[in-house]
Amino acid sequence: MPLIDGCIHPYPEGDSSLRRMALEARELGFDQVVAAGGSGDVPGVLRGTIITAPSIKEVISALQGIPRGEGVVMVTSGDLAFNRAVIGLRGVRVLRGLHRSPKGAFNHVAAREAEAKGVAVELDLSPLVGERGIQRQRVISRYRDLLQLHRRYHFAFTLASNARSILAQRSVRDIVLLARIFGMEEGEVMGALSSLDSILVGRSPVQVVRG
Amino acid sequence: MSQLPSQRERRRYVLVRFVPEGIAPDPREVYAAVVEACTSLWGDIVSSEISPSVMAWEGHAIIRCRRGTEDRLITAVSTITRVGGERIALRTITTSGTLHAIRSRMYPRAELLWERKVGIGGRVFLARAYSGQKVDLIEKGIKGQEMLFFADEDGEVR
Repeated sequence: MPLIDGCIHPYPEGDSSLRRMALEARELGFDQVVAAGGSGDVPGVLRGTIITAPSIKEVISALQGIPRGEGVVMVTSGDLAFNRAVIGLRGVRVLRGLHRSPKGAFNHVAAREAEAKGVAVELDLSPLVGERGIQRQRVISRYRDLLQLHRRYHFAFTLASNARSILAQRSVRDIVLLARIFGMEEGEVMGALSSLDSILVGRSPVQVVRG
Repeated sequence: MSQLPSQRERRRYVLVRFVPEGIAPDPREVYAAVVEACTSLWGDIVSSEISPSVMAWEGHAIIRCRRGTEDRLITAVSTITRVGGERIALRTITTSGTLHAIRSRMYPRAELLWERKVGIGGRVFLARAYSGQKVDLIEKGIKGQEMLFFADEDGEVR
């Protein structure tokens, strides 16, 4: 299974070009990256679209502008009602930014729905690297809660550096160690890094089981 | 904690590489950044167990710690984003029990292939191309320097 960095932000949003970030990701042990922005057709890069909208209506209209099956559609989370509505939308692959949402914005009901609809929850590693003190403590605590739900309801996680520079990209080994801060085991990290591959392939209505 | 017959504690050495290329931070500033990262992430008690010390040269640093604490040290090092006010990343290359073994894993700095001025968006950068298709762009201004990171196939630097 390919290891995928769940989201990067290349130039002009960041200071590093898409090609350079893809090169760096390969050196750091990744097979693919999801790029929100950037230009050019670069091997090992999946196109990502981030939708940040205050209401579900606006998310739906933004989704209509994206051709079906094109890249990874990620929606920035909001409150619980918003998140549950987003999970139910066709075409949404990833719910992101839950560490910034109010507490209780993703509960057991949303977790069950995410599992059923094949929507992954993004764990953004940038606050673990860039924040200090109470801000980082809050993020660790939120990720610990999400991990508990993940272990119980088996929805998918993605891990994203959300790097805007090659200086913010981290190796697979670093990510394994960073995820250990909030209690994630190495197997779970590898599963999260490769989950997008199976999410993009989608679930077949018929599962073939070999005897 | 296991000790050698001489009662000296066992140590581990972590080799890290500085990114971007050509940067050579002061070892004391690297030490300050490592200690700050350890203390901020793990607190004073665990940081005193890690007991880091730093040797830095030629684009690399060797960080010494107590045996058994190297994973915690590497986790803390991965949270370093600045050294002495400069944006920097520290990439862990390997961990070893002896300095001799770790020195053999150090590799020479990337070769500088060419250097020329490049204009992007009305700004003039000094472009430095290194082996491995990497091109670093440096703009020196009044408020310090700004860097962009491109690849040699990018249209902006061709």
